[in-house]
Amino acid sequence: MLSSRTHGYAIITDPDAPVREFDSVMCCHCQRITLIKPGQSAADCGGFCRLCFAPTCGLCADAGVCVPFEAKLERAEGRRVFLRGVELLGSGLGPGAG
Amino acid sequence: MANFSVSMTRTASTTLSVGSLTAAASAMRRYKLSDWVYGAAEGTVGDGVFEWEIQRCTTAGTAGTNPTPASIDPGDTAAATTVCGQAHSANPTLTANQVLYAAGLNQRATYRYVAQPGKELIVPATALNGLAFTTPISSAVACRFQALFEEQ
Repeated sequence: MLSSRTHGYAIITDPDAPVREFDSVMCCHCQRITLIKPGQSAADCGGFCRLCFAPTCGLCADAGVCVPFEAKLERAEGRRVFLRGVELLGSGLGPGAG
Repeated sequence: MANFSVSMTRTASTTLSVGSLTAAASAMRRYKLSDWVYGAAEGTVGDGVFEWEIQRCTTAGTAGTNPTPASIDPGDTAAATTVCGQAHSANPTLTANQVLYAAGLNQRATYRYVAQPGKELIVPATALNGLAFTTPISSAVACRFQALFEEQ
C-alpha cells in the first residue's frame, strides 16, 4: 500500500517468487529515488535537509549544500523565460533566427 | 495538463538506451514522469540479470523509431510535444551523476513504480532535455519500458 508519508511505491512481480513491494523517498535536491526497507527512516536512506525539511539522497547529503530542485528547474529554464520576457523568442531575433 | 502513455522496446544493450523521453527542440513543455513499468519482453523465459536505470539526458541521441505517446484521456486532443525515442543507435547524452533511479531485476520479473502526487520525476522545459531509460547490465533479449507522464 502507498503510504502518505512516502514518495513512491514499487512492486516486483516474479512468477518464481512472492510479490515484493517497496516504499521510496525522493531527494528534494536532485529527485533521486531511494527504495526504503522496512524499519528504516527516511534519513537512513541518505540525509535530511533542514532548509527544505525533506529527505535527500546520499550524494546530496555529502555535498552539504541546499539547492532545491525547483531552483535547478528555474536555472535550466531561465534563459528561455528571459528571452520570452524581452520578447526575443519567436520574434525572429532570438536564438535560431536567420 | 494532459497525461500520456508510451511504450519503448528494444533488444537490451549495455551501451544503448531502451528509450528516451525528451523535450521538443522548440515549443517544449515541462513534463512529469509519474508511473513506469519495465521488464523483459522475450517470449522465451530466461534467468538473465538486468540493471535498469533512469538517467537525465541533455540530447535525444539517435533513435531507431519514435513511438507516438498516446493520450490517456480521449478528450485531450492535443498531441504530446515530448518526443519519445526507442532502440537508439546513438545514445542520448547522459548527464553524469544524475541517475535518478536504479534497480536490478531478474529477466522473468516485472517492475512497476508509482510516484506519489507531487513526487514525480520532473524534466525541465529545456530543448532536448529529458530522461533516458537504460540497461547497463542486461542480457541480449527483448525488453520493454512503459512510461506514463503528464505534460505541464
